[in-house]
Amino acid sequence: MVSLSTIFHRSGSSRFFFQGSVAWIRWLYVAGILLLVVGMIWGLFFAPADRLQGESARIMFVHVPAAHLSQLVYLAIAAAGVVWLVWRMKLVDICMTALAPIGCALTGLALASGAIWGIPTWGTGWVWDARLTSTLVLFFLYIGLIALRGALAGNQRAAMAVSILALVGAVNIRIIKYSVDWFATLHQPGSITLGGPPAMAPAFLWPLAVNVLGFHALVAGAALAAMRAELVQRDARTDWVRSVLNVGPKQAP
Amino acid sequence: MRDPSFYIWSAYAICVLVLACIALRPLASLRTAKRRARKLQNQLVDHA
Repeated sequence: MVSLSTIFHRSGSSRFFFQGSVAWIRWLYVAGILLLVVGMIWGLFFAPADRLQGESARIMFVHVPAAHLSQLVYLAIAAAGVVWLVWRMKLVDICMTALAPIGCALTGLALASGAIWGIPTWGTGWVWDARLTSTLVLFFLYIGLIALRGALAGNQRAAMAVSILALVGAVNIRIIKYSVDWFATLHQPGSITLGGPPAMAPAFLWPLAVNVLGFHALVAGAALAAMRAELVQRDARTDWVRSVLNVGPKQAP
Repeated sequence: MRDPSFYIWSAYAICVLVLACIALRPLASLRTAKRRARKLQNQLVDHA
C-alpha cells in the first residue's frame, strides 16, 4: 500500500502530476458543467421569488458562489505561499501562478453580478461600503499578484514576492468576511455560517448548494489544467516533457 | 428602472461568459505550450 508521505513526495514530481491530473481534469469539467447547468436552470426557473426582493434574488445563485470562491482561491494561494516559503516546491509556485488569473476573474464576476443585483435591490450598483470596498481591494490584490509574477525576472524571486504579497493580503479575506459585522453596511450579513443552521429556506439553499458545487468542480478542473500548461511551458526543454510529448530523434529514411 | 428579468439575464449571461473563459483559457494555453515545447524539442533533437 502506498503511504501518505510517498503520495506527498510523488505529487511534487512534475511528470507524476502531469500524467496523473488528466483524468481528474476531465471528470471535474464534466461534473462542474453538469452541476452548473442543473443549478442555473433550477435557480432561474424553479426556485421561488423572494418575499422582499422578488425575482431579482435569483442573481444570488451566481453571485454567492463567485464571491465565495474568489476568497477561497485567494486563501489557497496564501496557503501555497506558506508551503513555498517553507519547502520551495516548484509545483506550489506553479499552483500560485495558475490560480491568480482564475481568482481575479471570479472576483470580477462577484463584483459585476453584485452591481447588477444592487441596481434593482438597493437602487445603485455601487456604494463605498466595507464589504464592496474590501472585495474591490481583493480584485486589486489579484492584479498585483499577476503583475508581480510577470514583472520579476527569475522564478525564485517572483515566487518569493508573490508568496509574501499573498500572505500579507490574506488579512483582507478576514476583513471581507467580518465587514458586515464590524461596520454598518448596505450589504446583508451572511446567511450561511459554519456554527449554526442556515438563515435561508431550503427552496433557495438547494439550488445555491448545487451551483456552489458546480463552481468548485469547474474551478478545480481549470486550476489543474492551468497548472499543466504552466508546467509544460517552464519545462519545455526537459527530458520528461520530451518523453510525454513523444518527441524523439528522426528515423533515417 | 428596467424589468427585473433584464438584470437577472444580464447577471447569468456574464456568469456563463466568465466561467467559459475560466474553463477554456487553460486548455488553450496547454495546447499552445505543448506545440511550442514540441517545436523546441524537435529543434534540440535536430541540433544534437
